[in-house]
Amino acid sequence: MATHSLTETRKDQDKTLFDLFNEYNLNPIPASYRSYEHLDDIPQDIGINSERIRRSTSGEYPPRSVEAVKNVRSNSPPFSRENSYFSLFLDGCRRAYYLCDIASASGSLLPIMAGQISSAVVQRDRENGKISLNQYVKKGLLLLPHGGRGLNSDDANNIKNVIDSSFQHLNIEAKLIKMKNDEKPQNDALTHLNMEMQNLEILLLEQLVHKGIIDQRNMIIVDGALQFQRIDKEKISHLRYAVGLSKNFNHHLKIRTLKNREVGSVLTKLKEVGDRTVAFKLKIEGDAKEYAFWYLRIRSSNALNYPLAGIVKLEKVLVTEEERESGLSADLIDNISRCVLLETSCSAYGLDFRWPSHIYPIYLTEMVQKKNFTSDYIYHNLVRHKLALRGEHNGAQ
Amino acid sequence: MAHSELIGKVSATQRSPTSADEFSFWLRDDIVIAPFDMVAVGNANDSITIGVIREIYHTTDSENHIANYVSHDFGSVDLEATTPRLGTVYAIAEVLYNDKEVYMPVRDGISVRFASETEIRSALGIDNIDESKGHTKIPAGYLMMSNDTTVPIFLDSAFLVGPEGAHLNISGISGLATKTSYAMFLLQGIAQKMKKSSLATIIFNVKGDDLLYIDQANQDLSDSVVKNWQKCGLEPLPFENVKYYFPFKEGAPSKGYANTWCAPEEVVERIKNGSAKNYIYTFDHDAEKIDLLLSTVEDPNFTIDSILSEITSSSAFNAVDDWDELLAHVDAHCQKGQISDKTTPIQSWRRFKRLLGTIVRSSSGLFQNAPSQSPEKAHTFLSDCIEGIKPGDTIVVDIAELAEQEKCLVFGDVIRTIYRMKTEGTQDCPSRVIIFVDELNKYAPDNIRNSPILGDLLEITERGRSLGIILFSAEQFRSAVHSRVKGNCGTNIYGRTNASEIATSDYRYIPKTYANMMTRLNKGNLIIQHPLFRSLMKIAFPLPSYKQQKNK
Repeated sequence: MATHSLTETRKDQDKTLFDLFNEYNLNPIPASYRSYEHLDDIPQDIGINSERIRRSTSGEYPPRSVEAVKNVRSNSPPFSRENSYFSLFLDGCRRAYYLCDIASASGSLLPIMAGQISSAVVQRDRENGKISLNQYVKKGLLLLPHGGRGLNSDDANNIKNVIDSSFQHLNIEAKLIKMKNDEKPQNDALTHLNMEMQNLEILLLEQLVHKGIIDQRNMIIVDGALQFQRIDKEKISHLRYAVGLSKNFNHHLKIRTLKNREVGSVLTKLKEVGDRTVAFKLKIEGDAKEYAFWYLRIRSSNALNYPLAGIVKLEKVLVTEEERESGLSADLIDNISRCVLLETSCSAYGLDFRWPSHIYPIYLTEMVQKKNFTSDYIYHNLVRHKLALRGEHNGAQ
Repeated sequence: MAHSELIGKVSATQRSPTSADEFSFWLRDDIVIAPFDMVAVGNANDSITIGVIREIYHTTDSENHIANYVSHDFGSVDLEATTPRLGTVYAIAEVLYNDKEVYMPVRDGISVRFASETEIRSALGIDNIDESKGHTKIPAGYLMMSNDTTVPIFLDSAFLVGPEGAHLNISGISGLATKTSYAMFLLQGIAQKMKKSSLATIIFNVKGDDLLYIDQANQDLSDSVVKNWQKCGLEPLPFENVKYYFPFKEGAPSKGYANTWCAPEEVVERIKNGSAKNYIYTFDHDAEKIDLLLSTVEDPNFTIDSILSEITSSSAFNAVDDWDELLAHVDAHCQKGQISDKTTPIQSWRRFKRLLGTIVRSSSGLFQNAPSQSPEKAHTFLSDCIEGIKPGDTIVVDIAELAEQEKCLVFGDVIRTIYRMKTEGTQDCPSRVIIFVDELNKYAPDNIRNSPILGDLLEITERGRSLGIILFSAEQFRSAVHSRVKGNCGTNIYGRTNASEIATSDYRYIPKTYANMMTRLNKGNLIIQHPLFRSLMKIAFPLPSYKQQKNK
């Protein structure tokens, strides 16, 4: 086993992750310090094509014309903070770091990426509106490609053990992932981070359900889509009282019930605050879950610089047989929409460029997590961080 | 020792770090605080840092006012925010003291609580007033904090009436700032706490009958006011050994021949029992005091000065016995060709004659050609009475009804007499004499370069501390007083004033929040600056313990 000349002269206590990669002949190349923060620019529903939109079934009953626009605002809104459906808000955050590239034995140049993921739930007091943190979990991950084009699995496990013990105090653990994307292998890492983040969100939802905190009168708004990649069939009911709110969505989604017209063409008809589309039904192939989703204008387009700004996508899992058959009741959809409209005061104007489609409690949930992330400096310098080694490693001779 | 509950935590940021002089802290949502409240924070070496709150802010995460406007549905005034904007109240406190002399900046996240009474006393240095070494704690009122803690405040006599420091000045709008009431409160405190000291007080009554009943108890004191007095360690008593001196008034037998607002029957009674007299000025007795009479007159070429010098020293005036003869002699100097005077022009003599003649002739009886021996008239010379002042005496000189120039004469006469007594070492003279006068700007105005009274006042304020002459002064606008006079006052008190006054340079050193508070102070609340205190304090004091009677 060839060893890098650098490691021959270093003592164990001075060894870094960089050195460890060299010991396995991975020839790591440090990357420039960049964070992948703009993956959120890609809508989460970009992968959903029209085949997955159920044909000829509306997501609501009684059915309405698919192009009909309805305004849910009334002069005397029946909802206020005290009786709104929503008092809980969930969001996950992810921050990715590109540490270095390694050359695997199979001749692939693969990225080593790390990330911080977290999920938080804030709760709003119905009397005074004060926000408090209800749940919060944070993790650090270092992703090692293994199998196939990646590292030998045994080598990867050994490196993982060293990483886990060395960075335990930073709450960072290594994860072994498969990288299959030839052109952009880092996307596999990012996808994995997203999945891990969703797992945290599911974990928190589960805890809220078990504690009886969320129910029909205390529903939760989840930032983003509800199409969690990995949620067990038995746990679908945890999403019963959750409503997904997406700020960013695919305007070009073709909907069969719209005769394959893009949904953006219907969204242009949402002119007044409170205008909503009819609800559509979504079923993911190979997935037991079905969703109803619709679009709601929450801010007036008059003050915004883009006609479709201020529109959000709302979705809810169809849990019961009746819901899967007929969709959600129009009254329920209207009431959910009215409660979402309540969330426009106050706004994240000036604080977040996505403010027209953002709601303030979700902004606070994001902020709590971002403020609690470990410094980027720590992650950018992980490869140079001294390791906590115990005894010899296979291959590191 | 039980500490009060926590009210917040220290907040140090990139833009607002804590320092040895100040720190910021955010507040628990339900806590109410006010400027001048005192807080305690843990510091290095297990020490406690005490700070006094200087500013209080409320901040949110809103970027600007437009964001708030947008958040209310683009300007809906009826809308109530479903989620109130994230915000907090934070305060900036000035470091006052550390119990172990540690002046490290307090650390971020350290808990903050209201300071206890003991901590406040230590921070203010009140417990350091060593009464065994001749220092006396003079009650100065009480400090009231937002958590209802009340702490009596004391001044160190060594810095109030000497020898370390001396002189006191109070400024504020008439009727609102309670300047006179506070000065009298301090004087009562001095009288009660320094009984054994050789100390006397001279008080000028400049307005109505405000201070003409100070030897009589205030019968209208409520129980709460009595308690406030006791809180300060004092009993609400009237002044003792008080003598009143009124300006003589011609043809007013029913008023006791006194030119005063005091009730006539009181005047008559006091004259009968010897606690009051009417003072006059004769040429024979008071010739050298004419300069005080003309102290407010501009004399850039010192012509009046030379005339006065001639009057007091020239043989031409040897035969002058009284004011009438003086005016006649002066008149002679005003005639052309009668008496030649190469040094002083005739126009100056004529001006002098006009000035003096107007004052003497328009007086209601202050200027007499000779003292009367009638017991009802009770004539006396003020300077002679002052020369007989004894320790424990309180003398009230009424000048309320006098013309401005007469006031200058009387005031100047008193301070000159005291100064002379002190510099000549008059026997039995009290070791300290406190002189309290209102409207100091009339005697030491900012816009006069020199005048006889100003000169005397400067002597007192600059050297009086070592002689034992203490000036307690008051005025409406501190900016109108001569800088060297007010600058030598060791203790400064600020009552309610107006915005244009706090914009002047006198208030430049005062933090903006405190200065703005001066425009909103209630009656009975003052801001005090004393050498013992490391910061300005806001104090309250009880209603006067002496009788106050409305002007009739």
